[in-house]
Formats: sequence, structure tokens, C-alpha cells
Amino acid sequence: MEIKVHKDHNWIQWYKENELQSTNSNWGLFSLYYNMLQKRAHKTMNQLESTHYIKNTTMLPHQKEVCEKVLFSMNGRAILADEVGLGKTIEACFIMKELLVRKMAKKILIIVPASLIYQWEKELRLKFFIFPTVYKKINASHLDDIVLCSYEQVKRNRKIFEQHCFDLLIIDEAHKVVNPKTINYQMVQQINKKYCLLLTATPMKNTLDDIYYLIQIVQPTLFADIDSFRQLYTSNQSIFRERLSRVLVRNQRQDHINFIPERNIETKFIYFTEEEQAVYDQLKKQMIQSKTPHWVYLKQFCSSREACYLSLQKNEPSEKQLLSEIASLPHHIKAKVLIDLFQTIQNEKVVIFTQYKPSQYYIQWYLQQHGIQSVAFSGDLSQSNKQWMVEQFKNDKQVLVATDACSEGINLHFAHILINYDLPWNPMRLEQRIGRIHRFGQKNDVRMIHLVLEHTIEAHILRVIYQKINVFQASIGGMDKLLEQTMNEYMVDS
Amino acid sequence: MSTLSFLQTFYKNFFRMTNCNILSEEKDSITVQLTKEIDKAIMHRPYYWTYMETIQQEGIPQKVCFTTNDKTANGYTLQYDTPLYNRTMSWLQKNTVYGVYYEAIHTNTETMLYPWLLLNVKIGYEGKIHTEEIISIGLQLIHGIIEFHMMEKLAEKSLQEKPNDYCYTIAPIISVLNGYKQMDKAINQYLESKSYEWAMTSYHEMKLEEKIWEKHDTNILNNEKAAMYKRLQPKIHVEVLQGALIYIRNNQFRTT
Repeated sequence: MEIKVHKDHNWIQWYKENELQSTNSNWGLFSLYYNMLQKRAHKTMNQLESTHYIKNTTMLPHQKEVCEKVLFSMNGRAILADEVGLGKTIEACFIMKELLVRKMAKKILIIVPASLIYQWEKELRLKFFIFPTVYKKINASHLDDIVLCSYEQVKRNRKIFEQHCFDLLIIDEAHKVVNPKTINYQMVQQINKKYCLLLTATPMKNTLDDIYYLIQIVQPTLFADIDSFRQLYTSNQSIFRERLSRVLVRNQRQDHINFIPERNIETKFIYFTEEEQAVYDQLKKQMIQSKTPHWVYLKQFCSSREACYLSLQKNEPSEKQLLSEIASLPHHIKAKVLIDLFQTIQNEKVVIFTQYKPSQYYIQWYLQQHGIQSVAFSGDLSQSNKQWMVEQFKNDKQVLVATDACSEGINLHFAHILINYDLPWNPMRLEQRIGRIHRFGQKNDVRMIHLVLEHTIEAHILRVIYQKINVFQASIGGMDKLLEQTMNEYMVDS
Repeated sequence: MSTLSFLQTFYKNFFRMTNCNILSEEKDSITVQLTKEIDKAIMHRPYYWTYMETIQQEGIPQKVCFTTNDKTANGYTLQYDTPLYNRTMSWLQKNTVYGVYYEAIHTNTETMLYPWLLLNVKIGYEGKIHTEEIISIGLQLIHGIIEFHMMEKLAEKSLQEKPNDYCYTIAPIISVLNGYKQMDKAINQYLESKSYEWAMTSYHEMKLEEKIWEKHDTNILNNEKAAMYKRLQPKIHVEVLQGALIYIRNNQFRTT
């Protein structure tokens, strides 16, 4: 074995040139500097040194374990996949601090969703004394050492980022980069990095392959190719999971935080009225040939008349007959069921999620008609407006009606009831949704209610979600409850 | 002493030694009248000073309240690794890179002071994990005796920038350049005497990775392979950070 020894002879060079010049050095300063150097020398091989330099944060035992594992046995390349609310950000910050303190990293790039930039900046500055640069506009000639920016910024300046060589690359909400066909994925893969952390509570967005593509970014040599990845999963799950654990760390709430409350999941099956079912069936029949897949309209129709009407009007304006039939329907059965639900909920705070903006407005209006006050929350609000809406909800209004734009980074732990007004195809989105209320600081047991229309596409979606969760559990491991357990076998078999 | 109060003491000493007046001192803050030199060095306001120079004005150094309460962490917070701290350290590095110091002896008999070359050296051991060590070596420039832990040994003495009366310095026989070469050899010997477990672990992992890489297409993933070497190839980095010519009384050290 050969060890490269690099000696820096700058000092003697300096001496030769400046020996005779008088210096204003004094012995006090000379020893002051020496003592500081001695104090800060990081001598240990397998202990965290950064903990001495952080004041306002202490690590929970599971976070410490993750940091040590990533640094000392995974060589600083990992997917941090703790469940929502266990502090992935803190773990990543600690690892970053450790790499900085040990001078293992200097140039760092942190990519996060635009809405989380200021949260990250604040956390880094106040808790870790790391001062990242947040650019308004990125200049081609120079990048600061620690750069914090959004996916969009990186996308817009791909060429610049590709030229640099980063010691550490951190990607938050990394489930955004699981599809190798997307620009997001390709740009991330192009970035040169020495160490790399991917943060996501939901490493499997839709299919098992998602995990493979995440791994390709962090440890491309872990599997020979995608076929051997798939094959190992089907042939031997325990070896598969062992292999995965070399690059992926996942903590579950139930193992680590004993005071985290229970999740109670309920599915409420609803039946369309006869006239609604008639329109639904007609819609299904007529739209089977349309450009947009027909299930899109069906899904919208299950959410609200308005959602379906507006998108149909936009895409298929010729369907006058159908449009007028939808328009003439009475109030949606789901909305009525929702109001009934509120009878039992009384004055508790409730978060309602829907995928569609028209439904969002409709729900808000319909609640208002029944004397229930609410705020609307969607992705196009500015950061300060979002904060304001959350404050309103916390202090004055009973209900927050949100679209999925809300489902990352926002903290609503003061509410403990969540209603899924319509179901997304992807179970991870459900996890993100419930993660808003089922997190640190939640004092009550959490109740999540799915509203599902029986005999429609929604029942089918529910079945798909059950299947996806089963694949997830077989590959990555346990997952907190998202659906009612008792229905599992029935749903997957049918 | 905890790591953080160490930093506070460090800053207090720093301001005192650079002639910055400490105007008041509270539990978690310290108000200091900076000198022009230190203001320029640590406050990072180059535009102000350039402007003052162009209009040929003296410029007024700032009076600053530095806080150790970091709830708000801004430019005036005393903490490790902040931009303020980094500027302070790099100013110190630049200004203490070399000096000539004499032992302070109050005497009225003639006293001989022997010349020593002192080097404070940073050694970085860079494997899968990086560690670092600061060593301090002294070489007596008459007989060529080498001492380790020099700074710790000198801590028992007091040193100053001018010799006292009745103290005479002996001229070095070994030049600083030759002394430096001898000390370089001593550093090599020191490195050879160290345990290399850290490097072995790293090296073995690198060899394993290399094997795995043989099965992969390195054309596409060339950068990734290079990054693997960067992470695992063991390296040692040696850098002299401070040096000094020191005149002290002879035979003062207990042998180590």
C-alpha cells in the first residue's frame, strides 16, 4: 500500500522572501492562534466532532445512529428515508456539519423545493452556524462554497452546475428525482459530487423501480442493472433488503418516538345517488374514446361536479349534452356526507385534502353555507401568505381545505383530524398528507378519514394503493398505517 | 472549559492583544471599539474602506457589540465557523506566520540565549474519514537537538518581542533553511512511527470498490469512479502553519 504524502512548503518559501521584513507579530497572538488550532484539531476516527460546535440542538438517539452510520460505514453516501417527522433535515445538517468540521467538504450544493428554501436557510444558520448562499440570480463565473437553491434554479442553470465539482450534494424531497426520463433526474445525475445525501420519506413513489433510480444517483455500483435489481427482489427479499440497507437508512416513528400518538384510519364508503350514478356511467361510456384518459374525468366527477365540469368544458367543449347534465345535478353526495361528518366532529380542527382546485372552492363554499368557517390553502400562495393562512387556521377557522401543494414542509400538528376528500393514486402522497398533522408536537391520536365512492374508480384506486403499499413493505420495510389493516386481504385479492 | 466558553475567552484575548478597547462586558455580549486594522480584517466592509481611501479620509473604525447569544445568529455572533470567525482566523494566520521572540528574564548578570527554530505543523490524515493533528517541533540551531511538544514546553516560560537587558543571543550555527530540512526529515520519521490502521481500512475498501467497478461501464460513470478514489485513496497532508525564531536559556527542558 502506498500513501500519498503531500507537503506544503509555502512557509519556507514565504520565509525566504520575507525573512528580513519586520513583522508585527506578537507572542500572545502567536500562541492564541496555536491554541485555537490545537483545540480544533479533529482527532477521533469514529466519533462525531461536530457536536461540540452546535449549541441549540441536541440529537435524538436514532438521529445520532443515522449520522454515525452514514459517516463511518456508508462513506457519506446515503438515502435518508426516515418517516416524516423524525428529523431527516436535522440528520442531513449534522452530517454536513461533521464533513465541514473535518474539512472533508468545502463546496456544498443543497437542492430543495422552492417553498422550503427559507426554512432550510434558517435552520442551517441558527442551529448549525452554517451560512449558505441563496442566490436570486446565478452568475456564471462564480459560485460560493455553500449554495442553497431550488430545483428550478438548478434546472435553469444546468450548464453552470455541471461545470463544478461539489464535495457534498444534498437533495431534499428526493422523490422528485426518481424518473430517469425527467429533466430533474438527468440534471441531478450530471452533477459531480464526492458525498451525497438524498432525503425522502417516500423513496418509492409508484413502483419498485423508483428505488433503483435513486440508488443510481448515490451508489451506482450497488446493483449491476435494473434487471438484476428486480430479479433479486423477486428471488430473495431478505438479501435484497440487506443490500438495500447499505445505501438506505430508514427509521420508523413507532420504534423511536414513544410519545408519538396513534394513527386511526377509517374508510367511509359512499354511494352515488341514482341520478349521479347515471351521469357517471354515461360519462364513462362517452369518454372512453377521448384524448384525455377517461379515468381523469371519472376521478374528477367523484370529487365534485365543478371539477369535472370545468375540465370537460375545457377539453371537450362539444359535449354539450353531458355538460348540461352535470350542471343540472344537485349538490354532490360527498359534500353532504362531509357535512354529516362534521356533526360528529363538532368543534375540532379539521384538514381536508383534495386534488382539485374547483373542489377546493366548492367545499369551502358548501361548508360556509352550513356555518363552518374555513381557509383555502394551495400552492400558488406566496410564502408569507401561506404562513398567514396557517395562522388563521390555528387561531380562527375550524377547517383548512388544501390541495397537495400543501403536503410538503408545512406543520399543522395542532389539528388531529384529516379528511381525504378524494384519493391520489400514489400512497406516498397520502403519507405526505398525514405527515402534516402526524408529526412532532402532535398531542392527540390522529384520525384520517378516506371518503371513497363505492362502485366507481375510487374503489379501484383504493385497491391499487393497497397493492403498492404491500410492495413497499416487502422492499423497504415497515410503513406506518395509511389504510385500514383489516381490509388488506380483501382488497388485494379482489 | 467547554468548547464555547473557550471561544469567548479566545475573542476577549484577541481584542486585548490587538489593542481593541473592550468598552463593556455583559453576560452574553461584549462591546468593543475596534482599531482600523482589525475592523478591516474582520468586519468585511471593503466598500466603506475603499470609499474612504478614494475621498482621502481616515475612516472611522466601528464600535461593535458582539453577542454570544446565538438565537439570532447574525454577523455579530461569536461562533465557530461563521464568516466572522473565518476572517479572524485567516487574519491571525497571516499575522503569526513568522516572528522572532525572546525569553523574558529579569536579571543583572549576563545571560546567554540559545536560538531555536520552532515550527507548528498541521498534519491531515485523509482516508475515508479525515483526522488532523497539530504538532509543534523545535530545533536548537547550535547542536541540532530536536524537541517535540515545543509549544507546550514553552508555555512554562514567558516570551516577548524584545530581549531584556543583559541578555545576549548566540548566533545560529545551523541556518533556518538547513534547520527546516532537518525538521522535514524529523516529520517523515514521525509519520513513519504512526499507526496506519486508518489508511489500511480505507485502502482495502478502495480495492474492493475497484473490483466492483470492473463489472460496470465506466464510460458513463467516469465521474463516479473518480469520486470513489477521492473518498477512499489514503493521503497525508503536511503543512507548516507557523514558524518562529526563538531565543531561550539553555538546558531548560526535561527530556521527553
